[in-house]
Amino acid sequence: MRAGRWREAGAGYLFLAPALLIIGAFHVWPAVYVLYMSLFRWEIVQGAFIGLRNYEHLLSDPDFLSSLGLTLVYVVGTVPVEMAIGLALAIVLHQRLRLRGLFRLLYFLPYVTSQVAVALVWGWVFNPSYGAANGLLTALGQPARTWLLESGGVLSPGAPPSLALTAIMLVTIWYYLGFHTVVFLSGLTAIPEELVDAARIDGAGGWRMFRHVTFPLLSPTTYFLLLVATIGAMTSFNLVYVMSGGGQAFGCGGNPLGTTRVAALFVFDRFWCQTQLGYASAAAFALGLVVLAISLINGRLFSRRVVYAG
Amino acid sequence: MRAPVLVVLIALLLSSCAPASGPATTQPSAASQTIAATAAPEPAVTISLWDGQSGVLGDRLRELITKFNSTHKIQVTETFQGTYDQLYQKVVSAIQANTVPDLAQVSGPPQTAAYWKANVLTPVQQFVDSPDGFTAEQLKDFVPALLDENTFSVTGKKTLVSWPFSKSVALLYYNPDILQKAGVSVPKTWDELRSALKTVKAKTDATPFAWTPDVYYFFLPYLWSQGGDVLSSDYSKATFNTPEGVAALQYQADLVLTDKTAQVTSGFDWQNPFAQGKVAFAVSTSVSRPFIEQAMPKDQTFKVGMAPLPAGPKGPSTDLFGNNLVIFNKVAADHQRAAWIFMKWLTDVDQTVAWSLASGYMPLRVSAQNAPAFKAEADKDPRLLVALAALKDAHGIPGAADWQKIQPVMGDMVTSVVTGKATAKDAIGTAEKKVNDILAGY
Repeated sequence: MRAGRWREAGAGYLFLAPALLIIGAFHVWPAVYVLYMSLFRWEIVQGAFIGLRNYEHLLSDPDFLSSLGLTLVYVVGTVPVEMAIGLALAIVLHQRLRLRGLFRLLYFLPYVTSQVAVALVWGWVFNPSYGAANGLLTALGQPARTWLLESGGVLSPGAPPSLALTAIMLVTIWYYLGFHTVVFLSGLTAIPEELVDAARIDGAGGWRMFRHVTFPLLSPTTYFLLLVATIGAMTSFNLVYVMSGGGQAFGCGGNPLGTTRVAALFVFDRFWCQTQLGYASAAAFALGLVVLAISLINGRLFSRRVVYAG
Repeated sequence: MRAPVLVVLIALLLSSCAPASGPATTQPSAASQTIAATAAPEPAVTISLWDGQSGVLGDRLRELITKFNSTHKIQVTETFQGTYDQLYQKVVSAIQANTVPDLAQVSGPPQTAAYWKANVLTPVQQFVDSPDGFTAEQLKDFVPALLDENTFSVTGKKTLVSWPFSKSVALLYYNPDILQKAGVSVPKTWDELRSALKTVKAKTDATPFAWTPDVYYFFLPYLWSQGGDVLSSDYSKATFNTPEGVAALQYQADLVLTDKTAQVTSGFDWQNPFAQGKVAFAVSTSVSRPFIEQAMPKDQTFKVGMAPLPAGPKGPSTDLFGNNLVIFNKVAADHQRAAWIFMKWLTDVDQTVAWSLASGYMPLRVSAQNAPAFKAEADKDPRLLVALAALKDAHGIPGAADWQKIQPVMGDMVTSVVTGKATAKDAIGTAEKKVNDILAGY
């Protein structure tokens, strides 16, 4: 009996092993090692143990605090917009339209393209000398802009987001739209037909059907997307880094004038460009804690509102 | 029986505690040494070189390596690692993983200083002074400014830590056709440049000037040409918040914001419009010429003009750019020696001439500048001599280990002024505080 249970457990762990190995090697171990590095003065090579001094310094580092602020702006400016447009598109594409498959493919296409390639192409679009964006503005009789080089704010001159970050946010929304659309579509497909029919018999339709039947039953999907997109946006790197010059245009990432230096870029800058490996590790670990806290808040606020059909 | 064992053990322990390399090198300096011993036979080992030499220059470098491999027991394998910054990042990763190459390019004194501070290098002086090295007389053949740039003070003694390889200086590029059309001559001072740009703007439809703002092109040369400097000689304090520093910043603001004669670009975006004949002046290193010529439309070529950077009241000044080579101390002793033999070969007269003619970098030796192959080319195209002539006015980038952190602060200072986000005075004050904080060390 006992041998049988052991064998069963062993088989279970064997099945878990590939995933555990991958998660352990590429997620858990680096996280533990980053925590270890963050406790040292570590510039190129490991130096003295300094306890929590790197974390103390983070709290008074204006560059780190502003990068957290910019991350917040980036999250608020992208996640709700992606989700709203993604939901609207999903509802449209859920209808029996002609060429529905083609539209689904088109919207999903950016998401399966390499982020670096996408960012490079959009970098050309926004290039102040030869970009299509300025071509369009000029054709409309508007003055050309410097786009990704512009550190001035779009809402007010000194406040974020800068025009550069706004351009990056637009590309981020364009990139993730297809993902949100497809996931919402799968959520819509999962809504039981009989519930929709029943609501229709009761006289619901249009907005009321959406407000009282579709949207509540989509809530598991909405919650999932909110969580995944928020975590993704808080740790967003590729698009922001490449469109901010990718270390080629202005030295290391996050320019112009640090107005696109979101938290992940701050970590990159301190780690790779300034080789403050210990300090950057502290920033990375602190960012991880912030993401965890926001995910918990998300859970607290929204998980109770999630309704599961059936 | 026990006592001798103990003595041996203590001796072993003491020897293992001594640094493999580092500041306390006991080798005599080249100046005082004459090479007595004969060099040992060349080790038959394969060594690895990491470099940041892209495009045409990468091809030329590989040709040189093939030539070396065909004539030596030592075999060199080369790996292109991206830009100098990416190369630096990869070396830093390799240091963590204990997989450093035998030798690597460094973009200049700051990176060498950072490696040196981390104690990962074997100072080249060790080999220069060895039977594989040079006599004091032979060493005099190298351009002094280039050796100085690779020399660090180690426990009060001047020590060659890295070795020069590809050296260039910042120059003024111009399109002679546009200048002729505007009726302006090549400016010799900063004031002349400013008025030349105004004339080009008034008389032609070309963009008078295009450049990507950073600390190197304009700020530093302008500051030096006024007699100022960026850091104190011991790299402990910022020294650029002076009337000269403010003037260096204001000059750039005047061109962009007041005169509207300079266009701010990103990265190398100035290069194509310049190659297409749409820009009158640009500023870049002496190796930009092959890249510009390559980007030129076949039916619209022009002779790229090159001149020294304009002078200030204290004369002309320019930055010393390019790359040097370093040897890592974690690799085996015979690999380190092989790396040195290869580095030394690269700077032999034949190679430095070939590399200079192929790349646009400067020949490193006085005798190379007089070599028939170089002279013949220079007679055909005197532009080869422009960078060489500017060398006497070249300043090395500060060899401060913290320069990697300082450079972006200075870059932001320039950007904030040329984009009108801050006045020169405010921007320089902010940058001074940040730089002093960095140097005070966190």
